[in-house]
Amino acid sequence: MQWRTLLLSLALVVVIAPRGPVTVQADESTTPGADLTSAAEIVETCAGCHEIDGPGYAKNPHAVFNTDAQLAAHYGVESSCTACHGDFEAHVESAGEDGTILAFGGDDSFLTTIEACTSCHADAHPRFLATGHAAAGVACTDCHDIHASGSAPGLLSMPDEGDLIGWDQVAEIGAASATCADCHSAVMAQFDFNEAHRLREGVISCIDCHDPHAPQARVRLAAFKQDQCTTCHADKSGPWVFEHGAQRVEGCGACHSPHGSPNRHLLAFQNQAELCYSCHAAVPGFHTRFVAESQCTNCHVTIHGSNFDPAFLE
Amino acid sequence: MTHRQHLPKSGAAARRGAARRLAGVVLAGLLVAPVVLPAPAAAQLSDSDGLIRIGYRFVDIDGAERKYREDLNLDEGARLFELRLDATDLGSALDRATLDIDNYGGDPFETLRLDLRKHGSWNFSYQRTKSAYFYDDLILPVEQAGDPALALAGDFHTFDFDRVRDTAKFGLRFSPRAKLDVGLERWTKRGESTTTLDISRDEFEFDQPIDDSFDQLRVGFTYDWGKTTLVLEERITEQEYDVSIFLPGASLGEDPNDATTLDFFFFDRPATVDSNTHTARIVSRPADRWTIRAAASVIESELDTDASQEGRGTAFTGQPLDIDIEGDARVEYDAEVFDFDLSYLINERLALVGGLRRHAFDQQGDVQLNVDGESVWDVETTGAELGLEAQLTATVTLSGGVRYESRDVEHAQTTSGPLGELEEYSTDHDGFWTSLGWNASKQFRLEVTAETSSYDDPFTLTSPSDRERLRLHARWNGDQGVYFDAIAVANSWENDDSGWEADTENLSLRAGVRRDTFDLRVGYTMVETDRSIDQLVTTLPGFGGGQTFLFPTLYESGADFIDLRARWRPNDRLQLGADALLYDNTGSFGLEREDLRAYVQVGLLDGYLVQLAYRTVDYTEEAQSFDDYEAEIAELSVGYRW
Repeated sequence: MQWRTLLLSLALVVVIAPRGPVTVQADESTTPGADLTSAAEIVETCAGCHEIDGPGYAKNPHAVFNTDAQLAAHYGVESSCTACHGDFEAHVESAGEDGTILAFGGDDSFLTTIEACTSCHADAHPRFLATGHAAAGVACTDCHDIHASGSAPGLLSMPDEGDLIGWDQVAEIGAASATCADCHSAVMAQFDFNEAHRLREGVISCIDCHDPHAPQARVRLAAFKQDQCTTCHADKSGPWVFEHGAQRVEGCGACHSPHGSPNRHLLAFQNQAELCYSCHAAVPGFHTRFVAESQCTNCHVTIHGSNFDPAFLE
Repeated sequence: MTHRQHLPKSGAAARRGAARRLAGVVLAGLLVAPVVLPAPAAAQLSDSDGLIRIGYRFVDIDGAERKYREDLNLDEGARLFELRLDATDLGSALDRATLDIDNYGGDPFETLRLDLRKHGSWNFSYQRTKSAYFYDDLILPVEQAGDPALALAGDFHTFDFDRVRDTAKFGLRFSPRAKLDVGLERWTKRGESTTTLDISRDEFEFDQPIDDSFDQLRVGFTYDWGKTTLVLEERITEQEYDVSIFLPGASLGEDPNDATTLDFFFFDRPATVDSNTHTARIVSRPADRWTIRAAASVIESELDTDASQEGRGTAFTGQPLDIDIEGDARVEYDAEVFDFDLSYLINERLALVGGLRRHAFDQQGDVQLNVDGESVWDVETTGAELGLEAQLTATVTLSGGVRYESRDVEHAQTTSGPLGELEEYSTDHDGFWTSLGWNASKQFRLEVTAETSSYDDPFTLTSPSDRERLRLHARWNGDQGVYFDAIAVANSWENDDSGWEADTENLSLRAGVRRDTFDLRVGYTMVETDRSIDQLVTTLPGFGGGQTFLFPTLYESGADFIDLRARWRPNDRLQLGADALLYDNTGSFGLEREDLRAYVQVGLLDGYLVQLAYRTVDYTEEAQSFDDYEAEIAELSVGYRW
């Protein structure tokens, strides 16, 4: 495999890459926790050109930086807008010329946006750069509206449904799933199968199984594959004296299609015998009387694991 | 054994007619109201807004009510359809309170979410979800099924239970540096089910009430030094399973010609699982652009069960059958998980990411009941990945990396005598991923993601030795709310050892237009799946075994989904909406489902509103009509928005 070559190449790139400045935080020379008068002046200056949602922004968690200088000091940032957008003097002096302030858009790198957010939120999302989202160039602001005043959890910038109530998508599936659906519509359709997890009914959301801020979206390294499932399906988690090896080692996905399926119990096959014979190439002789349509679990009733029978008969 | 039969029921035509007449009258009133009523006053900006909508649902089912309960399961009756509350003017101790309640009053899917928070100080959230699950497959006697294979296709298991999950979280920040998190989670699964057991070479159907619970307490303490954060967390979990199986009455068994009978039978096997998880996690940013995370968890778990079986009847030999045994089972495992993650922003346009994990699982179990059994499972997995992410130009992003995982499994089990030699399985996995993003303009974006993986010695015959994934996503956001979105995903797996192959192709095309007064979205999704293996099955010696036969398997599924969503608000008082979902599956299990919905909502004076909604679902299976049903659902509700 060529991955060793790729590893060496990566190491080489890291060594020779230029280390330019990263202007993601307020200037280190600014005094952390500047007094509130200063913060108010900054907000007033910004509001001179930008439409800041005054009373609405007050409901935003980030607005706490406008009132809590101690908290701002803890994160090493200046109170107010500059906490995230950095030093604004050049921006003001150039009358708002592009590229003079961190604007989280336009020419700003998605990496710069992620760095700006994780400089404060590192404890919550330390691995976001290693996610499939970041690898695809998705930054925090693609899912979160940092200035939002709405009640969506986590400041999610869910697809705007307005106030059209009545089988409204956000009301149905929740803000988190609605946000995911905006880019993952191909997956969302799988919840319209006749057998599907109850996401359309609002009982679960995408983030009950997937952590969009963790590398698991790319590969679940060295973890049991059924951990996401047994959070709700604890009765299938065991441990059992006689484990079903496929479940213990490969996880629930060895037999089930988790989002949705045409088949009962989200199984990968409509006929159980076809599913079971795919792996079990050696069976007792009397099994020759069974056909593809046979239900193996009519006898192997504890197929997820048993404490009493190695063949899962009881 | 008596086969359960749930043949199609005829609809209650009279009730349906009355519901339709009522709906017609209400609909006429709703359409006239916006004309005769004065326009409502402009909405007042407030620090508290919300909505409550209550009403009555009418349901009429024609066909297999059993399948309707598996599929939709919406019952007739009064409901609190939705309650939304968002308040921000709550004094100095509370910044925001939100409450969302959906479908309360007997629906199979009820949700309640409460969130209270003081930004930067404390937060509390509580969530309750109820999900009812019903499953009752059709079992037909051979003479009625016509085809013996169709009679065998039935499932003797039935389920009718509710899952209820309560989650409460409380976070308290003592200071900018210190924070306490407490979480409580309770999960219950209660209801009825049936199962089968083989007793003296005959199959019997038993009742198996369900009473399972899961309780978890999580306490975490976070201390932040600014550049470094330490998290200590303790989880205590208790699971209880009150499992008992009993015969609902004397039975001749599935094969009435067999001599085996049962007068009574009980099998009690209540079980408890106690687990403790200890976690320590450090996140450090030793310098700007560096983030390092290291975590270690130790999990200890123990299962205990005392079991007893008691039964009386006639064995297959014709001799009296007397069962009276007691025993117990015990399983213990320890798991250790170590994580290390690193990300380094080399400069504004280039980042290095990497991770290293190790997971060790060590389990022993033993049982004394009808067998004297013992088992051992050791699973050790080590994985690593390393990648680079780059903003190549203002419009192009590119990332790529490699991953590696090694898994060693050791396993042995016995049902009599000492454990034999451990069987060993080792699987190595390496792979490569890359992603390219191109913002061609402010309106158009294209993403391409590709992954390839190779596995040595896959664990099962359907575990992949090779896997490939390709995803394309293009999106165009035009002016005036017009957008097009296209996603294509292709996955393929194969196992070189067994000849197993699986392919999934997924295509999603969506378009929409949104204006101030209307919103129209149309989508088409295709999901095609193929799985095949020509399995050579060997029968073990005995009972006519010692043979090999070919068991070819080919599973195909071609699902097409067409959906439409339209909303129109011609004026401030009137809203009209329509949804359509057409689902057609072909292949190994052909079926169609049409799901059509429409509603009209009228705003009355002072925030009051009234809504009439109608939904019809037509479910049809291709092979036979036993599960077909049609359902009509009408909802009349009144609400108040503030």
